[in-house]
Amino acid sequence: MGRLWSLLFLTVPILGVAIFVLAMIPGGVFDDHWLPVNINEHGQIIDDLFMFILYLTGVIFIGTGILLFWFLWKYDTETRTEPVKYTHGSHTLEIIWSILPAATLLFIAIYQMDAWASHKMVPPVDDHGDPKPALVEVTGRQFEWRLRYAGRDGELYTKDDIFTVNDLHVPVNEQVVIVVKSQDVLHSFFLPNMRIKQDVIPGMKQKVWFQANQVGQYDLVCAELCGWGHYKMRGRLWVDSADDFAKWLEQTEQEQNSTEIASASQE
Amino acid sequence: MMFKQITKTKNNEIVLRQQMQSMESATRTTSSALWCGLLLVVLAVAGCDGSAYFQFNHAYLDRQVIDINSGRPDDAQIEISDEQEENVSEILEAAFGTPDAPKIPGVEGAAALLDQEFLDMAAGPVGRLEDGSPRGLYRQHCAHCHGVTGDGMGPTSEFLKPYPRDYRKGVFKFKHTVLGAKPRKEDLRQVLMEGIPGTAMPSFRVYDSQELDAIIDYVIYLAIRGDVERQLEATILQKTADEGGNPLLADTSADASAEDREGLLDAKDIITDVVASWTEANDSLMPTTEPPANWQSDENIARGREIFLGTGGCVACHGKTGLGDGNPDLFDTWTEELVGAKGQSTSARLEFYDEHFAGTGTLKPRNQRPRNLRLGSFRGGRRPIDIYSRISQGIAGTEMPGGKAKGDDAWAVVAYVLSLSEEVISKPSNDLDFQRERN
Repeated sequence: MGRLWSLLFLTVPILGVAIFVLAMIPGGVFDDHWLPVNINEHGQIIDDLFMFILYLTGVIFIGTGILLFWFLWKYDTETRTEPVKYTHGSHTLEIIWSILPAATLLFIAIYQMDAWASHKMVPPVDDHGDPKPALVEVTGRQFEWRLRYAGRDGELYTKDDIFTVNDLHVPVNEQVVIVVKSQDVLHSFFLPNMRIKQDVIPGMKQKVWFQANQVGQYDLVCAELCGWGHYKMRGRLWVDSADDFAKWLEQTEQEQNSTEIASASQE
Repeated sequence: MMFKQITKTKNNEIVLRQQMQSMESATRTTSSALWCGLLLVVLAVAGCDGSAYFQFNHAYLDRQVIDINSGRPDDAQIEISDEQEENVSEILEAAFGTPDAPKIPGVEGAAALLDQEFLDMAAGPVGRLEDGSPRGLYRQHCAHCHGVTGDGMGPTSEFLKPYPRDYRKGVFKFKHTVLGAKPRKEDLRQVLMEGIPGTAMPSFRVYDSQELDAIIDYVIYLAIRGDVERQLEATILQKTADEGGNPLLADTSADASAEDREGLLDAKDIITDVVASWTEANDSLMPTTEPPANWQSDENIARGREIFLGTGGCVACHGKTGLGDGNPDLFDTWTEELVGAKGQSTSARLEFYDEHFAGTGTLKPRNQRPRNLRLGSFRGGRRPIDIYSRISQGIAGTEMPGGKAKGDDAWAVVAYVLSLSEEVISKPSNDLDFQRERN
């Protein structure tokens, strides 16, 4: 085999890079395998961060791949017959390869702070500067998402709350705040198109927020293995126009207050 | 390492111990390899066999035998033979097919009630046809709790509280038909759409509407099959108990004489009746009344509370403050079949189970707790009409009676029950008497 081995190992970084590049090209072989469309006004910062880290690690990956190949190629036993030389290492080299990654990590840690803050620390405010109240409370439970809308008064846990399950409707072009909690075990509230993923921890109420900019139907899934039925814990995210959302909310409220069997079937 | 401590022991002894230890570990290795191999064989035999089958309803049959025998002298005890059980299974298979190839029984009304295409979509192993239409929906979504047979004894069932529904009695709790009637398809659909909060039943609302139709048809199919099975078992018991009769229902083989096959006609009658009961569901809607104007006013809620505490009799089970802490000694109708007769203490009734059914694969009986009305979690739906159904008709299969309050009174109780869920659980607003009693 000889140097064939080194070529074989070289295919690993080449394939790895090729898969990423192919996935990123629109209309390519792996067209559907890149990030789902981002419909959140605050989502771009997450994508930017993702791409930045991808490029950074990509450059390092290609560099180490080439270096590894070079060593394999150069020091192949069949072609190189010089005796082995032993060394006690290089202090300078060790310092360089410790400080470089440390500095890189530190840089990423500082660079991402804005993304984290806008996504997790600074909830939207209303016109008066007060924190915007939640539109809906999402309760994860094995294996569904129970939803409790604040209703007409815009306040949760009042008489006019509207209940539904798995079908999360939100208005487009509006800051939406959602409270997530769990009724039983760990779940993760994941809206891939919003770039929102929030672990749902029993006993904690957490807020997520976004501003959708595109009407449509998207995925809502659980992203934390929560039990044997985890795979079936999925819902739908409907981004509606303001009118459609109001209409849907009113219709759901009417159904919830139904006093006749005639409307018993919902479809 | 451990041998360093034995400093004074002779060398050969240490060597001996080391040898023994290595022998031991060698045996351990071989035996664990053996176990792994054995496990693989077991998995290959048990796991890869694709054909599924309906479980025979032993529990119901055994219970009837116990009840019949307890009233008979020792020399006249009856017993059901394997041949008789096979006979029931054969008749069922002839009429209903298998979990991989379900059939709509050839009786009047069955083809109008159930759609063969839906049954095919829901039955069989999980997968998709070339045209993308799904197969095995029931096994994909339902069977791990409700079991392939619909007996509520799927692999995950014993970890759930309450246990999953056993369809074989044909009794369903949440519906809008009169108490004794079957649910309509719309009622079953409501359960699939909304899920049952407070239980392990999730909502399946994001699935394709037609897929839900298929699952509904298949659940009805399983319920009919299970119901027929019970009645065939009851018939065969009757035949065995009446001495001198032919203990077999019918000869199902192809070359049997017309006379021997006669029992199939009995079976056909049974199936026809069960199918008819499902067909009638649409005509068995419960009667409803319009709620009076302002029925959710404070005065009406107060009236509902009076009925709740008084003539309605609700407190007997649901407790004064609606916490469901009234009567803890209830069993639902599915569990009744496994525990001792009514009128005994709960522990005596459970002892009956331990004596006769423990270890038979049945789920250990649990009390049915009256609902805690203060949780805001309404299993059969939170719409006023849903609560009204529970109050006017009761809940099938449980001790919850219906009709204790009628018309406007019923709506007053609905208003009160809905208001209960808004109370803080540790602070019942309006029952100070009760609080003083506790202190």
